[in-house]
Amino acid sequence: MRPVTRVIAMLAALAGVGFGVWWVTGKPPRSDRSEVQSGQVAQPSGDEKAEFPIEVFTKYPPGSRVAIRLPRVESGIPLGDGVFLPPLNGVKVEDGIPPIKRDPRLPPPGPVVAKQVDLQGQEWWIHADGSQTSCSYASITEAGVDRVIVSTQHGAARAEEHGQLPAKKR
Amino acid sequence: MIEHRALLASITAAVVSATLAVATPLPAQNNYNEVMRFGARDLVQTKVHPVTNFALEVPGVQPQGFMTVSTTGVPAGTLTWIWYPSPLNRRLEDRFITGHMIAVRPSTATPLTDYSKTHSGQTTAGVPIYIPKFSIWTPKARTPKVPKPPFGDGFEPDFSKSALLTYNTVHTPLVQPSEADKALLWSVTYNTKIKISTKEMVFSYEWRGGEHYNKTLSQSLPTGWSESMFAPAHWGWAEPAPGRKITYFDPAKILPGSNITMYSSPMGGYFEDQATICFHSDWGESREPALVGSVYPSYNVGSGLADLGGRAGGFGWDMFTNSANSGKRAMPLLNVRSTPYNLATPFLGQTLEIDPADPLIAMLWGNRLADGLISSLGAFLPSKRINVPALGPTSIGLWVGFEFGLVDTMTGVAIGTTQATWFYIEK
Repeated sequence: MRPVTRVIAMLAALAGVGFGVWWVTGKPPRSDRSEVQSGQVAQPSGDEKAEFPIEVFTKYPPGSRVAIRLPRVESGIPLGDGVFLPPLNGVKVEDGIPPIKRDPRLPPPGPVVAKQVDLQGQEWWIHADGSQTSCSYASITEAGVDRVIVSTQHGAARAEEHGQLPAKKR
Repeated sequence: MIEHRALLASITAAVVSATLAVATPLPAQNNYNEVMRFGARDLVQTKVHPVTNFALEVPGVQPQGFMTVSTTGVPAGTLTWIWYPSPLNRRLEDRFITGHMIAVRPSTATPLTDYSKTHSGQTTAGVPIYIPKFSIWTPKARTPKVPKPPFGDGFEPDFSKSALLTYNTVHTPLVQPSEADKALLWSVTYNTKIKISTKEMVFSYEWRGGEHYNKTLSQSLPTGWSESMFAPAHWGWAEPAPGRKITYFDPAKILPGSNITMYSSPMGGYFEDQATICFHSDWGESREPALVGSVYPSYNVGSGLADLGGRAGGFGWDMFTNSANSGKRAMPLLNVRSTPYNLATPFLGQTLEIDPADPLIAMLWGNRLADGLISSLGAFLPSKRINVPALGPTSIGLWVGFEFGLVDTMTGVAIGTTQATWFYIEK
């Protein structure tokens, strides 16, 4: 056996003793059990849970913006970590609302401060950090076939533009 | 096998030192799995708009109408298209697409004062923008190049076939005054999974028409993200249907004085339902002074071409899945090969996409920088990178591949794999 081949074989044996073994044991090393901390999204107190402001359900004309403070809800637009926003644009929870995607380098978007209607009439939740969340029915064409799905939209400034540079190297 | 020696020794050293290191949990994360971006490295743009003083969009990286003297702007229906090389995100089984993303911003001619104005049709302040129509196309091989680039000759969209997917709805949010002069990343997620069976994918974003860099309240697809040597092979524009004449991005149009390998392109990405890897490296990050040493991972194609032959480097892989897999083990599988492995290997009900017979496959087991438990939010994000010294000239031309197996630590059962991702040691 050539030296390099022998070294590789030895290392492979030391590291794993066979491909099938790791697959069925699957135990990570103790030192790896560091958990990413849960994201936190500010929520109204429990007292407000049952009190929906009328603005949540009111239809406003395109271009409008109304200040709002939302109660905690148990379902709707998933922000992650068990936090939801009420659905918008007539979307029903039972139709399935996908979670938002947000750059993990950003802090959570914070509480909703306003409801805004864009120039096409689509409703958006405006967060305290200026980011926006919405859900709506949307048209897709899949391999030539049209269908309607539920989609969630979320917009936020890039992490690099949140004044977080420079920072410690990973 | 000889050429593996330096890399093997260096990785072994890195594994040993990493095992002695202390892991530091990352700050709180929100759920953001399955994303791959087309680019993430900023160019330094020194030219500014004469009125607003905002850094100009980089010339040559938007459709021609965007920067011409005439302000008629980009023709409606123009596409910006991008090929994402599959070795960077290889999945040798069907993909299930669950969303897309794109960065957009008002043009640099839009002054800050406009953000706090109430424009026509509005009753509140803010600048209207739109999230372009997104499509995935069947790939069509481009003309072979000599010499052949590391990631191949590239692909372009095949407009003779129906798009594999088009998200037809165009959303038009208002940019908040607090977000003025920032590039906003818009993510769109679906409540359905779109099956894509092609190994290569070409994406496009559709312009509404009339966009121009010098037109207030117009918008752009922000550039300023580099994709290193891939750029000439993988993106450009297409005229409105039915013509769809393709223009390829021309690096010669990049700013004078910029490094020719530091191209830019629109920043976009997509989401997958399956667990994924996001590869990041220091060479893939911006090397502009403001970004060197930053915490921001470069989930980008720029990481696909390493210069580890001549310099030390740091690299790592983040894994994203969903919270249902919290507590499961993200088990790293390593390959070093002269070409990326291109076979799917069925194994205990899962599909492996790297070579299971590679002797290095277990090299990173137990390395806390690559092996650990998935968080409650569905991510495994090691807090530091694996650092290796310069690997020497014998490493040039090698490919390093990586994949995670997902293993239930209670039952020992394999429950999934990510796709594989490969980087090439170029110099």
